Amino acid sequence: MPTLRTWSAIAVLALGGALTMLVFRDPPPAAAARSFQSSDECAACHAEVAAEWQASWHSRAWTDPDVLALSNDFANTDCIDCHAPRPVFETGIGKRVLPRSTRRAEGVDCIACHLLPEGSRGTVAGTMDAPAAPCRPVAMRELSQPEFCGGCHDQHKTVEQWRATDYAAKGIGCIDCHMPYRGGDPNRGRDHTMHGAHDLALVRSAVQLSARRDGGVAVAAVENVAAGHHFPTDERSRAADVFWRPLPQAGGSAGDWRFAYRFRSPYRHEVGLVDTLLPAHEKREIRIDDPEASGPIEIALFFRLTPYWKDPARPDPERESNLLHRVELAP
Amino acid sequence: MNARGWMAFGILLAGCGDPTPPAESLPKFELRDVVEPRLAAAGPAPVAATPPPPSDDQLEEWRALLDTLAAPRASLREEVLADLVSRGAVAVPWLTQVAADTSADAGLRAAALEVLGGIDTPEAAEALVVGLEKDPEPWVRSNCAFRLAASRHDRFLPRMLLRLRYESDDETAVWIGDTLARRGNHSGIDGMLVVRARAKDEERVAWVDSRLAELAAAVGAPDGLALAADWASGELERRHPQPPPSKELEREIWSVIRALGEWDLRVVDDRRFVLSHMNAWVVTPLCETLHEQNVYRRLHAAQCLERMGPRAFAAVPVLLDALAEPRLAPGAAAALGSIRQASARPSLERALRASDLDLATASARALGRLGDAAAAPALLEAFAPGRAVDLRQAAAESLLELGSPQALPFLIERLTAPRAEAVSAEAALQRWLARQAASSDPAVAEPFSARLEAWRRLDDLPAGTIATREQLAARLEARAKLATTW
Repeated sequence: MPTLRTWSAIAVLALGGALTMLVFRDPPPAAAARSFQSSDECAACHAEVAAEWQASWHSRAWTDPDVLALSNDFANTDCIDCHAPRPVFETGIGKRVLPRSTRRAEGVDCIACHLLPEGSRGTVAGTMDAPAAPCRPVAMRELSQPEFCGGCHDQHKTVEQWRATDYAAKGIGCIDCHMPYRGGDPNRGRDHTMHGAHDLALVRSAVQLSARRDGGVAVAAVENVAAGHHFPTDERSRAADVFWRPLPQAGGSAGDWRFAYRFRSPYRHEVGLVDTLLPAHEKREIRIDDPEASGPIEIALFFRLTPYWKDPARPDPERESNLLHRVELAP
Repeated sequence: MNARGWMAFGILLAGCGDPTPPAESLPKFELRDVVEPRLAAAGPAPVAATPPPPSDDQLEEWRALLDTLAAPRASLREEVLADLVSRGAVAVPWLTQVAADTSADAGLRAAALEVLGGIDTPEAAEALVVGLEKDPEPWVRSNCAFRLAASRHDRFLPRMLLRLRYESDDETAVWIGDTLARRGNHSGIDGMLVVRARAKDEERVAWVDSRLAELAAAVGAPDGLALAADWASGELERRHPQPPPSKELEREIWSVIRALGEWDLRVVDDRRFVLSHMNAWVVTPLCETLHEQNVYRRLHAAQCLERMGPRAFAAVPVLLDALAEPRLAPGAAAALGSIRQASARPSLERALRASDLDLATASARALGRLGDAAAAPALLEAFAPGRAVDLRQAAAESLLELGSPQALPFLIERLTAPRAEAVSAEAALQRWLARQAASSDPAVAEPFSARLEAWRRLDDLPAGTIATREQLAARLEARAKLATTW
């Protein structure tokens, strides 16, 4: 009859064998490689991300009416490169993106950012290796680097602008502001809504407006306090305007808005206009040298996505722009 | 059957096969370094020796002569001009300074420009080109454009062409077009016609008409419109082939082609504009560039050929070969469509069956632009149910362009389908309506005119207003509803 010691030894051996098999077992079989024809295929497993992306401006990059108007229905074919790009990993990180001829209505979609070229270790780029997953993601750190975004967004020098900031020195990149962790929790992954110029709260938080008197002359100041790049940036159609108007006195009504300054990067054909974008960490003062500004005035900073007023001789910022900040200045 | 019969039968069988291999097994398209070796072979641009500065006596003499030339109704004007011109390259820096001096008397500046035009060294031509590009005064720019017509130097042609794009003064634009035409490049005729169309006074209209008439007569065209059409079709350059470019111009062109690889698309777009407006000989270096290792240069070279349209007919053989290069193939297909040579149809039809969906879709679009109705059966096959929806839409739009309305219901459905290229479908439908409305058969034109009118009324936003997403969706829905009543 085996002794207790013998049974114990058998048990230990069996346990050791089981543990060894567990540690050195074959990995689960990798999923079969597959190609993706549409980002709709990603939504089946990634519903939350897909919903966020669907609400983003990346998803509307091809169909948005502003884009269609400014590109003349993509008769300006260069717009296609960034608004319906081939997969970034296929073209190369840090290289200018190339246009695709199909699925254009899907805009800047999952495939554009995540699909890896044939022959890669996996099928899509992600934050971890998961060979058993249907899309065979592999961890690619490049996804989080500004150079990745630069293939499209550095066409208007946004990444170049960022490189000159303190944020770059501190390792704070594009996705830290534009794709934050959901609920601040890294385990929940990054928000794919990609808030940008269409998010007024975000735009508002990027700049501050103040005003003072300098020998009686009103001086407005706009400071880029939180944008990791110039303000505004990217599309040359974006503009931020400083307007002012006399405040009502003795029960009267406020005067008409008067234009003071525009922050914008002009189109090529706008000969005579200069680039007035506001770099990160900088403050720009705008003197309002008008006798009517000697009384109490209101100064406001407005933001718009397209630069043209309905009536350039009589711009109406309250109707045609979005108010970011306003201040009042006493005499 | 005897042996001869069997042999004939065998030959007949052999002749029935498609002699051209399917798209996937086309010979590999060679890629290599093209542009840098070409530039290296061309050598550096010549640097002009800086002439010694003039002495005070020389300056005084030149100044006196220029004052005389500038004086109204000066006697011995021709002799004074000849005297100043004879000073040659030595006087160019000083004359350039006078011409560019915005505080100087206008007559003096004009006289300096006249002398520079007569001296005609590369440095003098350069001074005139810089004046055309940069002077803030429109009259100076138009004077520079006018003077450049007589220059023997052609290497500044790319820069003149670029001014066509950016010149805001109508008179200068006319002189640029005029000068280019006198040098065998009629890219500016369209601009002259635009100036004429928007001119508000009869004098301006008459002046532009006189310039156009002269340029048209010089090449045997009846008028400016015919001249522009002849240029665009390539017919003009076939009738009047231009001499080959100088070595200097060739070097300039290769520099422009090199810039097609730049990051900044504004730079690329300007270079593309220049290349696509050059004379037809530029097709040769562009075709070479299709083989360029740098993907951006070869893609943008294909775009230049596309934008040249029928003038680039000599590029067709290379573009057909380029359908084998995966990155280049869609661009090559687009260029073939734009050049509109019927010989490209079979290859484009084969490309409809390519496994590369980008190429197949681009080929479907190209066949619509090519305009050969014989492509309809192949397009119908590409439109068949089960094919990728982008390919089906491209084929449907092209079928409509070719006058085959079989795909009409599909396109109407695309107006409101989720994630569809709705605006592209809308534009294709509108073009079709307009063509039917313009039919010479009143039985067709009348009902379609009414349909077109009803269609247009559904876009009621004031001109220049950008629709919101909701307004765009509403317009597409309304147009889809209207179209189902046809």
